[in-house]
Amino acid sequence: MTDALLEANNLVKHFPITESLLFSKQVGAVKAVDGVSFHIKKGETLGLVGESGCGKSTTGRLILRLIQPTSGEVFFEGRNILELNHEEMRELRSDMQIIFQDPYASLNPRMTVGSIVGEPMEVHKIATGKAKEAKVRELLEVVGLSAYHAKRYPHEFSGGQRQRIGIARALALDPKLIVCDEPVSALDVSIQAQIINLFQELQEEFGLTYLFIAHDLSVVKHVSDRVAVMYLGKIVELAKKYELYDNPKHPYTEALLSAVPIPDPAKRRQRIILEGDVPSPINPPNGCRFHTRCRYVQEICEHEEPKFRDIGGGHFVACHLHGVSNDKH
Amino acid sequence: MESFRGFCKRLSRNRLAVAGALIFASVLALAAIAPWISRYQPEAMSLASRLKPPSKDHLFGTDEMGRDVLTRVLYGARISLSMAFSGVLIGGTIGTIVGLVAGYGGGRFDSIAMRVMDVTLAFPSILQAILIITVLGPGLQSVVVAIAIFCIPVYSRTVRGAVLSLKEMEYVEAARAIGRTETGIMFRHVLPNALPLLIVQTSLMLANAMLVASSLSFIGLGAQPPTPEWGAMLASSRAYLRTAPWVSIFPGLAITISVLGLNLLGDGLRDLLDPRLRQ
Repeated sequence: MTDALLEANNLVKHFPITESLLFSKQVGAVKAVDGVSFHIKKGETLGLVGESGCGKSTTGRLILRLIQPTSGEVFFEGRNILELNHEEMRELRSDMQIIFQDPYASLNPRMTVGSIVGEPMEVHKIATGKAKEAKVRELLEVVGLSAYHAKRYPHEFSGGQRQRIGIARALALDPKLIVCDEPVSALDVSIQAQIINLFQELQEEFGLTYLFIAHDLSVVKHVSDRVAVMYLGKIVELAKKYELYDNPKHPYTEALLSAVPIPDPAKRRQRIILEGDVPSPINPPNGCRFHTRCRYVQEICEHEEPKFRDIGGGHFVACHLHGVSNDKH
Repeated sequence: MESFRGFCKRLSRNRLAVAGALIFASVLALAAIAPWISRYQPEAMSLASRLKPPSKDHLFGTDEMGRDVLTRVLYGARISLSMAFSGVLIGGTIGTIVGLVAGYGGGRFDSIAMRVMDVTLAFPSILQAILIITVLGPGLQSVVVAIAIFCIPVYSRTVRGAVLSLKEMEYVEAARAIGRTETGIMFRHVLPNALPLLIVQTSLMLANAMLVASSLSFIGLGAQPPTPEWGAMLASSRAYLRTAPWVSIFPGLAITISVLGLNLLGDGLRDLLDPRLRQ
C-alpha cells in the first residue's frame, strides 16, 4: 500500500465513563471505535457510512488527531501522526482538514467571513495583510461565493452558503486530505447536490483526497470510489463502490442497501427489516457485534469475532459467512 | 448571533434598560463636569454658613462645616465611580482569566480554583471587605483591593460556566483543526463569545461595588474625611438627620440613583441576552 496517503491501523477509542463523588472512578467505557483499519489512496474518496452512533465521526476525528485515540496507529504519508509532538502536529494540520456537519455551529459567530477564511493562513503564517485578503477573495470565489462576502458575518448567510464558507476555510491551507463529516446532512436536498458537485470539482482541481462520512447511501455512492460500512465501532465491510452496492457480502450492508429508496414507484424490492435496536456501545455483544440482529446468525457468531479480511479483489468483510474456503452465502 | 446594531435596536425597546442607561450616563457626565457646575470647592469650609437649608446659593444646602452639599455630591460621584470602576476592572480581569483557564483547561486547576472561589463566595462581601481593610489599613486603595477581591469569585464562576459550553462548540474544534494553539483558541474563539455575559456581569457588579464602597466609607473604613465620598458624607451627617436632613438626603439619593441605574441597565441587558426571553 505504498500509494496510501493515509493508513489507519487498529484504531481504538474508548470514552471513559466516570462516576464521581469525591474521587472520580472509571466505571466503564463507551467503545465508540473499536479496532478500525483502513487506508485511503491519494486522490480517492473513501465513503464511510453507518447509523448514528456507530463511530463514523469519531473515526474521522481520530485520523486528524482531534481526539487522542486509546490505541492504534495513523500513518499520514508514512509518518505516524500519533508520535508527533504538539508543534509537529500543528504544522501537519495544514495538510489535513475537516468540514463539519453543522454549518451553523462550525463558524464563530463573532468573526467576519474574511477572518474565518483567513484564520488558517494567519495561524500558519502563510499570508498576512493584503496577500491574505487577496487569497481570501480568491477562495470565496472558488467555492462559489463573492469577494464582497468577506466583510459579512456568518449569520447573514444561508446553510448552503455557510457550508461553502467552511469549505473555503478548509481549502485555505491547500490540504492534501479533507475529512468531510456529514457535510451535506444538515442541508436541503436541492442544496446538497450543489455542495456535492462543488466537492467533486474541487477534488479535480486541487487533487484532493476525501474521507467522506455520511449516512445517506445514495450520496456516498455518488461521491465515493470505495465505501466502508461501520456498525457499532467496527468496519464490517469495505469494497469498491460498485462491488459493494451490487454485491454486498455482509448481512448488515445487505440490510442497509435494501433500505435505500428507489426513485421509481414501479420497481419493488425486498426490504430487509432489522429487528431490535443497535446494542449499546458500552457493552457490545460478544463475538460478532451484529449477531443479535443478523438473519443468518450461526452458533460461531456468538462466540468468535469474525476477522476483517480480504475475500478477493480488495473486498474486505468481517463475517463468518465469508470464510476463506467455505463461502456458504 | 446578531449584529451590534440589531442589539442596540432591541435594547432601545426595553424602556427600563434605556432608563438605566440614561441614569448611569448622566451620573458619569455630572461627575465629569462637576467643576463647571459648581463654583465652590468640595472641601472649602465656611463656618458662618453651617447647616443652611437649600437656597439659591446652595441648592442642596450646606453641611456641618458650611461646605456646599451639591458640590460634595458631584465630586463624590468621581470618587465612588473611580473606586467601583478600578475595583471591578482589576477583579473582573483576574476573575475572567481564572474562569477561562479553569473552564477551558479543566482538571486539577479547575477543581482547586473553584473550591477556593466557593469558600470566598460563602463569606458576605462586606465582611470580607472589612477583613481585607483590617489587614491593609483604611483608605481608598484598600477599598479598591477589597472590591477587586470580592469580584474575582463572581467573575470566575460566571465565565467558567460559559466557557464549559463554549468550548464544546464546533468552531472551537475547527480552530483546533487549522492548528491554532489552545491559548489562541481561548482568547480568539472562546472569550469573545463570552463577552455579552461579561458586559451584563460588569454593569451589575459596578452597582454592587458602589454600594460596598459607600458602606465601607460609612463605617469609616474607606474614604476618610474631608474626602467628599457619599458613604462618608452620610456617616458624618447622620447626627443632624432631624435638624438638617438635606445633608444626608442628597448623598443618600445619589447612591440610590446610581445603583438603581446600573441595576436597571444590567437587568435589561441580561433579559436581552437570554434567548429564552426573546420573542
